[in-house]
Amino acid sequence: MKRNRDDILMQKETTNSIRRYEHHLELTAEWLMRSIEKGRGGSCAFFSPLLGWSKPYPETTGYLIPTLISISNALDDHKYSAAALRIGQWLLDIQSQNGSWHGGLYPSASSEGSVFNTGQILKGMMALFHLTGDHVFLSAADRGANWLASGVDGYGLWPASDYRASETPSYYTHVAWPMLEVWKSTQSVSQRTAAERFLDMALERKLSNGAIAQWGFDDQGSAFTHNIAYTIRGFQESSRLIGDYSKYGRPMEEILEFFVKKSELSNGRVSGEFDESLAGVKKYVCLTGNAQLAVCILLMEQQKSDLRLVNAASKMIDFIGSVQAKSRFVKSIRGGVAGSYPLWGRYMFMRYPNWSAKFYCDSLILIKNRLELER
Amino acid sequence: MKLVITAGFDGSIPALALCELLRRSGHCIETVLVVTPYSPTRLKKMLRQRGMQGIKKVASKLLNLKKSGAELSLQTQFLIHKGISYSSLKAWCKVNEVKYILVGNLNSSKSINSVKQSNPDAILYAGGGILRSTFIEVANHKIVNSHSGPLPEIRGMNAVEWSILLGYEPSITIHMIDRGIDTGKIISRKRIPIGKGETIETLRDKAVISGVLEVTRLFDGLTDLDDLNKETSRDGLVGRQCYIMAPAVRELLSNKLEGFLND
Repeated sequence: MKRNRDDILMQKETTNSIRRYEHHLELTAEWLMRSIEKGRGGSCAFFSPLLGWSKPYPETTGYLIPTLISISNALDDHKYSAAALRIGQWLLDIQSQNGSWHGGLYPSASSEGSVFNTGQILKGMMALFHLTGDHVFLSAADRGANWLASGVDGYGLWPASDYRASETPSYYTHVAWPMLEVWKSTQSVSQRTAAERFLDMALERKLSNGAIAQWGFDDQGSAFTHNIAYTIRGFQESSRLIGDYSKYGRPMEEILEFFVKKSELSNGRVSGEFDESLAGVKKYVCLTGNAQLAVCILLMEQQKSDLRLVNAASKMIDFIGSVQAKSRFVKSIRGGVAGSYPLWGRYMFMRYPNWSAKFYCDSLILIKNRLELER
Repeated sequence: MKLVITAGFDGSIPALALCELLRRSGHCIETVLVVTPYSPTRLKKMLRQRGMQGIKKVASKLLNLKKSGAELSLQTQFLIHKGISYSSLKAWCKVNEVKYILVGNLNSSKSINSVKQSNPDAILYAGGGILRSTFIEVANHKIVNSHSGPLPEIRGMNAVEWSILLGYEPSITIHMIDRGIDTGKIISRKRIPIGKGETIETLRDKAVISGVLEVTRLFDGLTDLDDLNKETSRDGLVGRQCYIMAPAVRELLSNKLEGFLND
């Protein structure tokens, strides 16, 4: 009986949407908890129907922490913040002497620090510092941010410790953001200066159509909406942290309006990749990017206060909900969000990444809060 | 004036009302351009934008499915009130010896050729999808539309709903069609009369009826479209385009509608 009721509640469009979003949040949060149970200290990078649970992934375990804390508040359930604390402790244990964290899954063959991965873990450290007031987290974040700041050259690039040393990708705005997050608490001038040097350089890559050059994994070709949204969000959050929306937030409006239209015209089923001329690759949806873009649109809406933007975000979120794994028969995928729809799409082919679930939760919490404001 | 009227389907009540009321006021309806609802492109687009719900809704509209015991819609009541008893545009065209052209798309060559041949003084748009520049050029930019929302603020779809949700007075705008979505020059704006017990459906019907009446009024005695006063400047104000409401936003509207009607 319960199964029927749950499924009907989630699927029926006329059901109270706030409750429907809460239901999806509960379902996804439970999947994230399973990724932690199986994560040997952290959270598994993904579940694959063919290979099972992966090894833990420090990078995404790091940025999962603020999401778990938000879930705790949204669902009024302490177990999620307790889990956040546990995985935070694990991240402290594996931090390198120089303040960085290595890339890839844990354990890693290489002990070399990774710029992007370190940046994402800083978000977790800062969230735990704000949650607990424990300076051990701030201290770890400070060391990590100092390591990142020391790597930025005069052009605003990270020439070392990265997979594309000569051309730092534009989505590294997602590294500048946590550096500024740390700066807010440490007031370290070098952390802010380095972050802004990168952001200013990346903003110069803005094209006349609003796209940001080199925002994908590759120098050439199309970018996943996942990376596109990383780029945009990095700018948006950096603007918030420095208290100047016009500097990095407003320049993102043009490209976000493009995705608003895309969402509306496709009923939330946005193409998974776009090239720099904004031509979409239509064969699949990058569900991760869909959720992230919905978050970016909702953040812009906080500035604009326009329910038309909520509408576009809602369609993207609803689409993810409509294809989320809900089967009770395979526990490891129930509540998971695949990297792509269909599952064999190019982004995270045949896998359920923990960051898809994380960003979906973020989007659900944001839209739920926004709708509650209208009550 | 020589007029062409477009319609999104054969049973379109506003198109039928416009045809008959403008004929009565002495205008010559040259051609009625009706878009067939069965075009694969149209169905595909609808499926993409609205999902199966959209297809079901349109199918029931096309098949004229009514729940037993359901009251007549305001649009149907309006036709009865005006003494218009034709069952379809096709029937109206047959009786009045007007060219009835069924097209897959208003931008198709068949449609454009028929406009060229008719050489109308104006085209009244009463549905049929977005017009491309070729159609607009062939019509010499003389296409008039009634939009169910206040322009330039509320443009696009579900205009009655968005007007209420965003706090604008529900109104219709008669405007020229240009290449943008509801961005052409404005001819007139009119409030939608609101009574007790309104629902979104009745307000939408009232918007359609107000549009028909306002176009008929503006065209009464008109011999040249250029004689209509058109707003030449919009002060650069073009509102963000509205689209079909997502379920969550539609719920907000339902909550707000009650308060709005009580006010």
